[in-house]
Amino acid sequence: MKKIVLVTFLFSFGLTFGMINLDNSIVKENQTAKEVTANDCVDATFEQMEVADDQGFSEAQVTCLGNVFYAGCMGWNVDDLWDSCVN
Amino acid sequence: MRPIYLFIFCFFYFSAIDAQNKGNIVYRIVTDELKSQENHSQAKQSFYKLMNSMSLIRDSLYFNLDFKDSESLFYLDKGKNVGMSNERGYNSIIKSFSSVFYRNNDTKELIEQVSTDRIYLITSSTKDLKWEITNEEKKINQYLCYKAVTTIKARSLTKGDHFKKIQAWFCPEIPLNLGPNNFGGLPGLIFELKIGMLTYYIESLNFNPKAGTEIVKPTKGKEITRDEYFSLKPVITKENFKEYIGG
Repeated sequence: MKKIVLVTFLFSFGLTFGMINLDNSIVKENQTAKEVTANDCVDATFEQMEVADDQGFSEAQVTCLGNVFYAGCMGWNVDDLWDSCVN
Repeated sequence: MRPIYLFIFCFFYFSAIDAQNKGNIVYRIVTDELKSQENHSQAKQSFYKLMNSMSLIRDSLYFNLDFKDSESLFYLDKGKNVGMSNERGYNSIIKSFSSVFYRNNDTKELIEQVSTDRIYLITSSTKDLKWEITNEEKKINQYLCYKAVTTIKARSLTKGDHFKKIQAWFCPEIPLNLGPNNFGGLPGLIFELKIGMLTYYIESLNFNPKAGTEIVKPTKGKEITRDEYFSLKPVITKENFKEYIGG
């Protein structure tokens, strides 16, 4: 009986510990992916803002375009927002 | 030479000289096209599509360079376009190109009247610009032109203070040291000027305008140097990115 309780306890402990570790690694992996995406989007946003600047847009327009581009890069649906920067 | 022939020669010679003392040159812009690729993100493709549609509007604009004696004025001709005024973004393009550029070759004075949150008169000198004239030549229409390059101090939202390359094609056959956006000082009229992704080019020359070409020096606005004007502009860096973008 004692053996069964001990085995059950160790199994549960191992399972729980394993799941915590697994969960942590998933969270960490997601966080890393998110951070990389955000950093990539910052770089890409800078690049596109320079394009808008080279085309003679005003600072306010360049900032607005940068905001919409960054949101789009981060996965938001911005189809209806572009016009707000140029109208 | 008999006196009558001398008189006729002098009359036409000085008329021709005088004809170039005043006139009007019309410039237009062509914008470098942004080419989308399949591997570009959706955001980048949408951005390029918008930019290229805005370029169509920009490329429909007309700019006047009026000159008389030592003074000249370069400005957007707001009353002239090819029916783009109902297009989305037309007003924002007009606003982006609404600066007025005044030049006086006698006093070496340059003024850019710019409207942002308020009206500024950005002052500088014709002496500030140093060109390097190259051996490269090409014909623009029937005129033989030479390439000249320079760099100007610029400030942008993302690059901050930096130097920007400018490329000009000037034609000594037209002995006017003028060009778009107050760029000038070359031994001939600037026929093409490339700034960033924009190339200004000449649409027409008129050295004998029927209407009087009066140059009105812009006076409305706060007088400010270019460095002072730059100091008013924000700069976005990776450190303060969130204050401006996506915050």
